[in-house]
Amino acid sequence: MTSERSSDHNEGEISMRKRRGLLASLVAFSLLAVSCGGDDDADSSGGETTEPAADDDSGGDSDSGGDSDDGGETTEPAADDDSGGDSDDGGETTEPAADDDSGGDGSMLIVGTDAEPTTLDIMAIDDNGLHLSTWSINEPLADIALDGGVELFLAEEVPTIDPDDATRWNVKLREDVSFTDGEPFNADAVKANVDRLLDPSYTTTVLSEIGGLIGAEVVDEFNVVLVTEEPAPGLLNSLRKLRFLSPASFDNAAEVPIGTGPYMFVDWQKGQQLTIAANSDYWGAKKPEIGTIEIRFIPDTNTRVAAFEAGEINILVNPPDTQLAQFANLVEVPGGEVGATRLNTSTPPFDDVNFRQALNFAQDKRTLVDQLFGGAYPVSECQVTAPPAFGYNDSLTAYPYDPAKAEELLALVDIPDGFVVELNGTSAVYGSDREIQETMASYWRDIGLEVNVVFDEIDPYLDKIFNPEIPIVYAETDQAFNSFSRQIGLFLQAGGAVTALGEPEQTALDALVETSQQDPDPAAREAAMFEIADYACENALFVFMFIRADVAALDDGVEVIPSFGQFEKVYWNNVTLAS
Amino acid sequence: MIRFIVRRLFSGLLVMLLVTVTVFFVTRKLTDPVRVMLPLSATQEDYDRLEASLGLDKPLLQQFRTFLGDVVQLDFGVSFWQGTDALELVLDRLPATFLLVAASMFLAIVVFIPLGIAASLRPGGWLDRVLVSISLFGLSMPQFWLGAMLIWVFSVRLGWLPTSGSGSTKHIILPAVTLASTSGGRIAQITRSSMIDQLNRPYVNTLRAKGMRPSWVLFRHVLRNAAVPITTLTAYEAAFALAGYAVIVETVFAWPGMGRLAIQAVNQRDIILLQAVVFVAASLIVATNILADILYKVIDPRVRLA
Repeated sequence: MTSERSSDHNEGEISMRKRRGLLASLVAFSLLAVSCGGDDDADSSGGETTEPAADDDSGGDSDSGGDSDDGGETTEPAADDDSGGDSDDGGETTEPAADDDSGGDGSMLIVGTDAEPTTLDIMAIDDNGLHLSTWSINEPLADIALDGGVELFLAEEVPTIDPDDATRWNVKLREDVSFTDGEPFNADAVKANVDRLLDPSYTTTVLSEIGGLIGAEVVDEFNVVLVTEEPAPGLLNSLRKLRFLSPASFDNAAEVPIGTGPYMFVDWQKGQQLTIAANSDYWGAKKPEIGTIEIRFIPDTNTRVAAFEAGEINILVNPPDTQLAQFANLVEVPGGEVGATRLNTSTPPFDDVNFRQALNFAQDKRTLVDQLFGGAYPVSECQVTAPPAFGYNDSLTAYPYDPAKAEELLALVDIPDGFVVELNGTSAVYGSDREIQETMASYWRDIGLEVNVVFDEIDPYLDKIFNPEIPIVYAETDQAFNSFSRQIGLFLQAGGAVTALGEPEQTALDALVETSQQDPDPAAREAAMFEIADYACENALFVFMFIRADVAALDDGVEVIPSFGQFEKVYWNNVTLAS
Repeated sequence: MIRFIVRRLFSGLLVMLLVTVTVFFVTRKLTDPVRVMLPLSATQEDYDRLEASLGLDKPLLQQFRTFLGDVVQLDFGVSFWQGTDALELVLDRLPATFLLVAASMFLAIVVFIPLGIAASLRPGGWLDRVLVSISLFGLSMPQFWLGAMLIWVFSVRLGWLPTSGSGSTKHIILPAVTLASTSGGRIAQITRSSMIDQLNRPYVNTLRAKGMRPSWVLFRHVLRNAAVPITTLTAYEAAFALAGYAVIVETVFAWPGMGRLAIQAVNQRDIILLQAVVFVAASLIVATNILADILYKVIDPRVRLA
């Protein structure tokens, strides 16, 4: 018995040792698998890292060139003889430059943003996350200046429309400009970029933003013609979206962008950060002052704010717009989006101008902006354009908050029994959109209307915004001219989302919209836009709310000259660290 | 055991296929990625051009046939937004998620199992009450809030740890603690109740009566018998952390893992990338469950694996 028990015990012990051994092996394997996945290296963990294949910053210098006065004001990139900045290749991480007062060589700026680019090919996707990283790498022929005019970059003069054919734009290029890989920037490079953009096998969402471009023709080494499908006088304002990559870099453009700009790509640790460095051979007069810029991707707004307050980042992109008052130093970007609810005039009682005006008088826009956004944004002056965008009519003023007047107007309207204003709104499409729309609804309820708000995500919202069968939809208009003019057409022309005005008003409005989009004379286009704005205001075709300017919070000592429209379109050579 | 693993793998593959097919049809029916990618003012021509370049202009069944043929070769296609192989993108991010989940599970096991054991020895005592409170705190506190509070205290106020990102041991502490809070709470509770259940069994009294050392009784017998439900829950927590909870923590702490990629894919309506993420997540859950079943057998040979 004892020997049996002993034998059983021994077998049990052996079996147990085997099980322990197996368990230990599994644990060890798991730990090994886990440890292979990460490292304790200060430079990287997880995510893919890409490096440029070659780093040859042999871009040349050039004069800043002359102005042309054809088509609006023209500016040059701000002349500044400060030639600081170097072509630091990244590598070691240094402390945020707010602790380093010297600027110039070796300086570093750290930017915290929410949107990481999905590709570094600036012509593939129209995306703010991409622009923050590559707007200073790949330059355009011309950009929109802060005053709404034209700022020249790779074009020597303002492009002009061929007097014999309104679909052809003559462009004279700067000479002695090179890409940072040594390739020359010339007419062949322009044509190569345009051909690539138009290639059906090339997937891009940017082409739709560039005014009907259908080709480029080389005239000589530094002269090229851009061809559009139809006359597109607005092309000048859309040229900021047509940016140039070195043709030798096309195959790898998604990972390593190469351009002519003041900054060069260094490194992209996906999911973490992207680094760019000053191009010491930049051709422009405004040299980059900051040696290295590290763009960190921090999607959560609270975490991004915490990183700013902890001193980990120098610039906070997209701060929470309901907490802007807590930031001591904000830069506001001109040319924001306009929040406006579009109305359709075919559906009673929206077909009655008294009803539409009542909807406007009932809104206390100032209080809404003050309470929701700490007063950070201006009220819209009765139009869907924001200053200083082309076509902004500064003779117009906002509908005042006057609920008594609103009720008076409502009394003149034949409102069907049981009528409910169904405001089609959005959820997580625009910042604080639910709060804005609920507040608007409450103001309408205050004047006796029944209101229901429908909150849509992006997919159903896109079905409604230009659908004329939907009488009332909240929107925020894009200020990029080409998009804007097309949006105006989609709203206001016959069959559009807003209008069923009857004749002769509709024909007159259609003609104005066509003039604003196609007349080669900028003065005529601007006059048409003024008339459209005036008509839309007087007839309350929208409920005009506020102008949402893009803002960023800056650390002490950081100064930024922003670009038009969005902060992400900043040129980093317009950013300085005060000594 | 081999037969069992093969059977489980086969059923796991069926589950993964079913999930992948479901995601294929649901995403194509419920969303239009082309419209989301284009600006509001895009023309019909712009839409048609982009739709054709993404291959979405083909009839749905034709797309499905192509998809099935590709997915058996683990080819999910090219991400709409990133222009890169979708599965490759997901696999690139997986190590970071593994690291985070491993760190959090390590914390949950090393901290909360001993706590649960200690609490089970004196039910109703002060340690037991403390443990229950900590568990409830971890279970009820939303991870996004806990993460934000930890960042506020340890990064902003004290400056001891970074707010976000990865690249060093310091970076992983706060996200791992946040992720471990929920798992750890549940593990502690199940450890406690499972141990109490075992401690009240007659064999424990027998072992004590035989004069066996208390620590021997506890760790060689009671804990082993209590380990099966603890293992079940730990595997469950690990699987859900990999395929679920980590999404929130990765977003809060800007951790470059698969969860963040999933959020990005959803926001951008990148249905190709989303399919790859779902497939990998389903694979992880299936693999974790199989591993848990193998562990049962190791811990308790009496368990019959069906």
